[in-house]
Amino acid sequence: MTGGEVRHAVRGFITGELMRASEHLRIGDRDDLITAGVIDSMGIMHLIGFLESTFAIRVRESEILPENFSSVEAIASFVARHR
Amino acid sequence: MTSAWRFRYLQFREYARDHGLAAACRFALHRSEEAVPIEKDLSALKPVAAPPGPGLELFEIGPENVDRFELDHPEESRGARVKRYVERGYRTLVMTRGRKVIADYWYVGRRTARTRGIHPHLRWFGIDLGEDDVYMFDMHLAADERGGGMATYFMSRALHHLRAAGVRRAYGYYDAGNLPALWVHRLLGYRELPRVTIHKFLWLETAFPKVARVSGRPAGPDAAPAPPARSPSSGVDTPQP
Repeated sequence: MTGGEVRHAVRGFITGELMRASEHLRIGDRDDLITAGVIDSMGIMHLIGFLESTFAIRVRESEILPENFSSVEAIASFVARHR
Repeated sequence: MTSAWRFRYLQFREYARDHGLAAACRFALHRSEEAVPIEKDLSALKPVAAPPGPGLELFEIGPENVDRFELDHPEESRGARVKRYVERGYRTLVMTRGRKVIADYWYVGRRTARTRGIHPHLRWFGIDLGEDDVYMFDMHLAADERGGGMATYFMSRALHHLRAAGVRRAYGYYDAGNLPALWVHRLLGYRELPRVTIHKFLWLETAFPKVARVSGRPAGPDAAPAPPARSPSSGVDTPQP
């Protein structure tokens, strides 16, 4: 999977699973998902489950930090470092 | 039924409702958790984000005004503990929408405590509260209010409220297995302290530091940050408050 494909998959999961229907606008790769309330305390659970199952990676507890999941780009970079 | 036993009965009943009777029995008999003590300097708070919904209000309840509130708690056990906690000098920050309690979070400090030990957890975590410090515990968010940033918003409002009241530092802990709690505390910039393993057997709780004493290296996932002023106590058997 290329970096672009990873970003596409992450963006699709976020807009399809974590965002409310009223928020289904296009999100930019660098849009702050935490400030927007998309990656909240429930969203992070679902996101990590998605990342681990989709990309066959393991997210260590020490890596669950805002800077690793703040945007589509940050998440894609995180995945790339673990593959 | 004394208030302490009623409170435990209600907790057991609510757990059985949500997870089944067998799970509730196991939960009541024995469980262990890896506790992550945390510390937050209230001089460095991020601004509170926009509220995730309308009509939210934050109240502080203590012995001086506890009888003035008639609130609908999401769980009966949450309401049942109020009198017991207030008698110990604990105070609570409550977020409501109308009369409905959405979230509550208890705290205690040297100035408010009515027991000599202030709170049993302080011995476990080796926390020596300063005059302007508080220990926060037992946070609950109604199940139908979770998500949408409510937990982060509530905790942020609570910290700002405490800072406005003169509190300089807030301590607490979260269960390392509780991912939503881990996320919220890291979002809010809490500093994590050396971990402690808590064993709960019926109404007794015992805590052991997680640091490997022989090697001197932490057994947790990362190197532990600097320990608090006092070293954690070990093997302390404490009745559950």
